[in-house]
Amino acid sequence: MTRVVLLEVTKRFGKTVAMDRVSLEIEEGELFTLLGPSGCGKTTTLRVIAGFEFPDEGRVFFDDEDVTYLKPYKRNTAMVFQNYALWPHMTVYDNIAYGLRLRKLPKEEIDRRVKEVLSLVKLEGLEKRYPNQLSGGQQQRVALARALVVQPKVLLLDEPLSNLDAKLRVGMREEIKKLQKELGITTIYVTHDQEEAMSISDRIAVMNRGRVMQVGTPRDIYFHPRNLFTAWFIGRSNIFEATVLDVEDDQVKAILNGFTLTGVKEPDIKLEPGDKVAVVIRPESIETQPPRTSGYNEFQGKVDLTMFLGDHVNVRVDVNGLKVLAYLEPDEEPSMGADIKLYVEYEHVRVLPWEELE
Amino acid sequence: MADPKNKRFFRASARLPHISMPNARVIASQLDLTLISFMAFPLIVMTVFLLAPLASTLKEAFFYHGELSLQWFRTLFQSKEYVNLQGTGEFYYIHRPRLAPETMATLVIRGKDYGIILNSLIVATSVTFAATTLGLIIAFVLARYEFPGKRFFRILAVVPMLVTPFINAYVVKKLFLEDGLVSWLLHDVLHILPWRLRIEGYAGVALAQTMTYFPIAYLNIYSSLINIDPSMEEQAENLGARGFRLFRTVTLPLAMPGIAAGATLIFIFSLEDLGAPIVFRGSAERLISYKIYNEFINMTGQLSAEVAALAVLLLFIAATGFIIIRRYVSLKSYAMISRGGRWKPRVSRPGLKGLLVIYLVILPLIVFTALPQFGVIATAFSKEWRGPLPSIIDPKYWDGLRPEGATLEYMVKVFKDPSVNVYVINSLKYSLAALVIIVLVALTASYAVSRARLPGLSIIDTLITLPIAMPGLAVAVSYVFFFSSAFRGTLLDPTDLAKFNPAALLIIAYAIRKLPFTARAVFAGLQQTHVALEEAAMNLGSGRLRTIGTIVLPLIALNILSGAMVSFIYCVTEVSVSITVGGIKHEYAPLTFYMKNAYLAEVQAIPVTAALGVLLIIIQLTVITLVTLGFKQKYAVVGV
Ligand SMILES: Nc1ncnc2c1ncn2[C@@H]1O[C@H](COP(=O)(O)OP(=O)(O)O)[C@@H](O)[C@H]1O
Ligand SMILES: [Mg+2]
Repeated sequence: MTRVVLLEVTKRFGKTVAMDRVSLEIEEGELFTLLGPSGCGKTTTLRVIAGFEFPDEGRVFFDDEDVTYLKPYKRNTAMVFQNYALWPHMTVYDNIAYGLRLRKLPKEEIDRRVKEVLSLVKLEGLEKRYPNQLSGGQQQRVALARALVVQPKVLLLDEPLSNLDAKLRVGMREEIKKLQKELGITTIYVTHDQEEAMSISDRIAVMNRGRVMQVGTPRDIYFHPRNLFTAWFIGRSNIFEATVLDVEDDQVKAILNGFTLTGVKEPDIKLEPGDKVAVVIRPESIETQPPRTSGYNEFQGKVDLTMFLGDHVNVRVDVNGLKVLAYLEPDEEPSMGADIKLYVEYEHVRVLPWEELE
Repeated sequence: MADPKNKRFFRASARLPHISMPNARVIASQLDLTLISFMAFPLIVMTVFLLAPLASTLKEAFFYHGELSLQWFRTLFQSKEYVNLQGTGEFYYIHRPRLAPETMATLVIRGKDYGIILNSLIVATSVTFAATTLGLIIAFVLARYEFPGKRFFRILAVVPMLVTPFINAYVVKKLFLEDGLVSWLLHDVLHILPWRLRIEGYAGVALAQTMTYFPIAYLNIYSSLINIDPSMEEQAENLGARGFRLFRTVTLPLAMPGIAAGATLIFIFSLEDLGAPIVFRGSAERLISYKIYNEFINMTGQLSAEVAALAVLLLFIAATGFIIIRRYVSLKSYAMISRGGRWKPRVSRPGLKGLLVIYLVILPLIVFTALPQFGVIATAFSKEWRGPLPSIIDPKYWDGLRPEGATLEYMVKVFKDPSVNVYVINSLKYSLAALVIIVLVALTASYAVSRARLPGLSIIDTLITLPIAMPGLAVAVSYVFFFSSAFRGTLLDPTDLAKFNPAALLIIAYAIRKLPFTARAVFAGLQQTHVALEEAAMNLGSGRLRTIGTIVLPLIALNILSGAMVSFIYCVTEVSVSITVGGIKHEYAPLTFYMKNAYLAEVQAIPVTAALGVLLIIIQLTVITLVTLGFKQKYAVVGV
């Protein structure tokens, strides 16, 4: 088992900065996800770890070994490419055995390990097929098997499920998580799908424009975003521009559009009265009944739009010209144009330093 | 899964989208007059001008005194002239002229004579192997490495493709004479070789053809290589593969489609080539192509049935080679399954050792293979015809490079002298006329194949691609048999010397032979154009013909034009039919016939032949530049 460390890695392609001082510590046996919009540098990060790209600055370590400039074929990582990169001229068996043959294992051992891994990914009996005789999901498993069979130090998965249809995707991600836990291989997983990231990861690094915005457990990132990008990218939020009126411990009073809201900030983020901030409220934390806790905001508005979605209702409320989105219970669906009162606890109003998005 | 099914999966060569069988009612309601004529026209043209002539040749070859028989073939194979397993002569020997000093000792490489049929097989096979290997090496270096001057390398590497019939093989011959550039370099300058060197005979033919044809392999393999999804190779590296192992297990198999395409063309080009055999005649006459050509030269009245048998044999060898190469490779060529991911072909910077190899081995090799074309240019512009070599490549005459040594005399002659430019004009006329037929057939056939949903349409597709695999000499022979019987006593009858005019036959032969280049381009254009665009027009009430005129033609105009231009240069430079059927009446002969005659006639005419070569180079360069720049169809020229 291997610990992977990136120290201040910068990688440029011409003028594009694909990785901007990226530092990460990925623990032994961890399933670590790089999450971010497309073009933010996830693939590049993975390729730097695999050795297909060499950083312009910074270092990469596997445990205590500096592998920054080690050739890819000497790293013993195994990558699953986004397009699977199955060799079309080899059978499933030959694809999977390739890495083992390079390692000069005896024939019987190769045979045994290929069989083993095939049953692990539930592809027994398909050894003789060629890749283009397989379904997308099967190809995906072959790619995974080919990576797993060499017992790599680090498993690298680049959007492994992005080419599968929605149903299959959910099934496969459960399987990958289970396999990873069983085998305990340090795994770095790349995706732009936040739900996938949330459901599968031990920890997530949110990336934007080559930078790591925040690293944390899925819960951490969801409930305690430390910057506006993370808050905006993860889940859906109401985001309002506001000005700080008053700061007391971690409680912040901010003024927006003529009314005051009270929210909370992370302890180590400094805010002063007069600072421009973002007020972030998740739609599911808005309620129609006063909460039982003491500290909450309340505001009045007119229902602007409702949409029934099965497990909840999307309600858009016009509050003094601000459009506020709330998820309400299906039986709470208000009628269009009705006056409505909304409540949200201080705890659920997150105040973050303002930054321009896009 | 059963094995036969596996096989079907891997026949990855040009496949049409799967078409389900519609019932008769559905078929009938799809047909309209336009579509029917679009299917009928190419079918009729190809039947009359390709299948019927072939049939009449087969009939000649397989009938003996009115009975079905293999007698003619038996005659061929039993004759030592055609098949001689022992072989005569030496592959190489040291020639020591009597009384001359030891410094004149010459290593002569010429290849043994195994009889006409075996010689052709041996030459074509070795050329295919050598040229493909050379093309593979150069393609790999140019596709996978980034180094200063790469663009220049890439341009230089296709120079040998510029066709300058006869004169180009002539320069190769001169390069490898005992007082030629190679002897001078290896013997006099570098002292690598203890003797002088002369390459002639079958070895000379193979050498000249290899130097001329390797760019076909290079271009095809290059485009295969840069189309390999880089993750295919990265994945192998990721699992620990490197160097030659990586190349052998992943890169090479995935480049197979390009290798096959190149090798197939080279095999057929070599088999039907007349340029090199005519230049090396005297030591390399026993080749199928030369034999058939010779029969034409000595033709009195009609060609013999033996020639028919020989033409059938030539056809058979070409087809077998074609099928073997394609079949062997189709087992190893696969549709890439690739989804998403960024495409940036793998290129790396070579280390010092690599750079040394590139500049000291690959570059000189590429320069060397381009020498014939430069030699042709030098010959055309050199005032004095001094000695056996055009001045630029003979170190003894490098002073010929001085401006005083240059002249435009021969170029002027090409344009001004009616006794020369009549042939240029003939060739242009025939080629343009052929182009009209080519475009019509290519358009109707491709449209029918890509748009009509009918079973059996792939016959048309096969018919219009077939000429690629047909040696021109087989076409020439079959035209003689066919037109002399079906059109006896008319101006189409090549055996009626009083009436015959080769113009029509040449036009038809050019059209049929060079059709596939345009057809491919048009077909590709149609496949890229979504049918919905036409359906939208028909939905609004436009008839099919009108839809084709107003929607389809404008959309694929560039494809038609670029395809036609490629066909055009192949027509103008056509040799096989031009110097056989085309030579029956000199005043109507095309340019390449005149080049051959001038080349054979006298030394003084060689600069004129070279000047005609320069003219051809200019035409080809113009077309290639237009097609590449204007239509972004990089490799259209060889993309069959
Ligand atoms: N080989 C390359 N050449 C030039 N630019 C590149 C290359 N690879 C990546 N980039 C650029 O770097 C940025 C990050 O790319 P990538 O790591 O692929 O993003 P992601 O995988 O997150 O979508 C993008 O702007 C992309 O265009
Ligand atoms: Mg990516």
